[in-house]
Amino acid sequence: MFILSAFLLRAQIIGKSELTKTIILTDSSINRRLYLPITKGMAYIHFFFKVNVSDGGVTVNIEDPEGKQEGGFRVTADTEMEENGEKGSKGQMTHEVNFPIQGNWLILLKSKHASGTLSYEIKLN
Amino acid sequence: MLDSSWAKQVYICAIPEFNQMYTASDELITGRGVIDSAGYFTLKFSCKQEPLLYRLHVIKKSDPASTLIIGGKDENFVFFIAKAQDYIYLKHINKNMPLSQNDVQNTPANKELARLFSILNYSSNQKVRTDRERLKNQLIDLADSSSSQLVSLLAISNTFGLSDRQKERIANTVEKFNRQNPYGANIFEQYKKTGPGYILVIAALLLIVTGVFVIIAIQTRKKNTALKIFKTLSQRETTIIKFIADGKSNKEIAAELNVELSTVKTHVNNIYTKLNVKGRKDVLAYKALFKKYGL
Repeated sequence: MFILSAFLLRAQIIGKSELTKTIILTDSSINRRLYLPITKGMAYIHFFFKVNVSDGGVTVNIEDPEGKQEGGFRVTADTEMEENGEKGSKGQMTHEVNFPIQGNWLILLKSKHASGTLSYEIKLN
Repeated sequence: MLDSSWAKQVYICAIPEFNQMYTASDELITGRGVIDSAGYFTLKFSCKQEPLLYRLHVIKKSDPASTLIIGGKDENFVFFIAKAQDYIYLKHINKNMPLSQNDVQNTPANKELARLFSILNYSSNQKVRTDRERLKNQLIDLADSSSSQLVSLLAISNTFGLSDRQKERIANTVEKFNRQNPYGANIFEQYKKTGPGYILVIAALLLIVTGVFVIIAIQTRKKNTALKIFKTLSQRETTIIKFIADGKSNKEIAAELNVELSTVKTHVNNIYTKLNVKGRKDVLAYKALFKKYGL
């Protein structure tokens, strides 16, 4: 119930050890905050993000509990110019944090009039 | 160098600001080249006279031109610093990856850039507080010692949670920089000093010294005025002022001095005239003044 309420507030607390999701974007503007509670003794967090856009822009950011930027990227597609047979833009990030700091890690997912897909996979151990 | 899954193309992106280093966008692409069958390529692109940050990347055959893969075995980009007339040479060192930051080291700036990235990459796996402090100090040391202002600014932009002493170190480093550098706008604003510290100190000292001199001058003038007035008083008048200060009436003063009451009244009127006062209360103020200056 608490997690459902949090989701309605456009935030989500990830309580599972593994989370995989794909978001289909259709001229979408989203602003999602995923909170990842890390407790003592956790050995690593594995992040994987993949974004394909044909239009608009998507930003992915990871912040540690102390507010330090841990990683992130931005993908924008402003034209329909075809290069190499593929249009649009693509961003992909694989990042692993060993012995992460305790506290709530924050994943920010933002898009602005974006069309495409945003996938992520987060694993904890 | 690149297996058959990679396209035989290479792209150059101009990175105008640090916050666009990890942006995949066609708008950033400023040059394109073709990789030959032996894995070599030559790419010319327009550059400015001042050193700027660029990103070179390759793509998989199925990917769009503006593709950025960060981390993992398929990381597809490197950063480098270049200015007009520079010759940048990439030597493929890490055979397990298509590109590596250590591939670009033929200029001092790019060697220092590679050093910076090695510091940042090492730090991502060390999360205890002492290692964070070491990371911050390594970044500040590099910023201070680098021959490339761009590398220094990039190092500073990666600092976080600094102590006052660390901020002061950075402020001193930034003070020497060319403020026109477009990569440093936020940093210059953040570490702006209001002006050379020594000028403020000197100005404050001058103000204090001037203030002291003014006070002394005013006090001296007051004393001289009091002295001048005092010298106009006769001995009898000085004595009567003392009796007035003690609260004695004219009648009592006459009795003390064994003179006529009218004589005392004459002296008192003379005193009023010389002191330019109207009554006994005003005379008391002068009495205090005379006492202050030992008259």
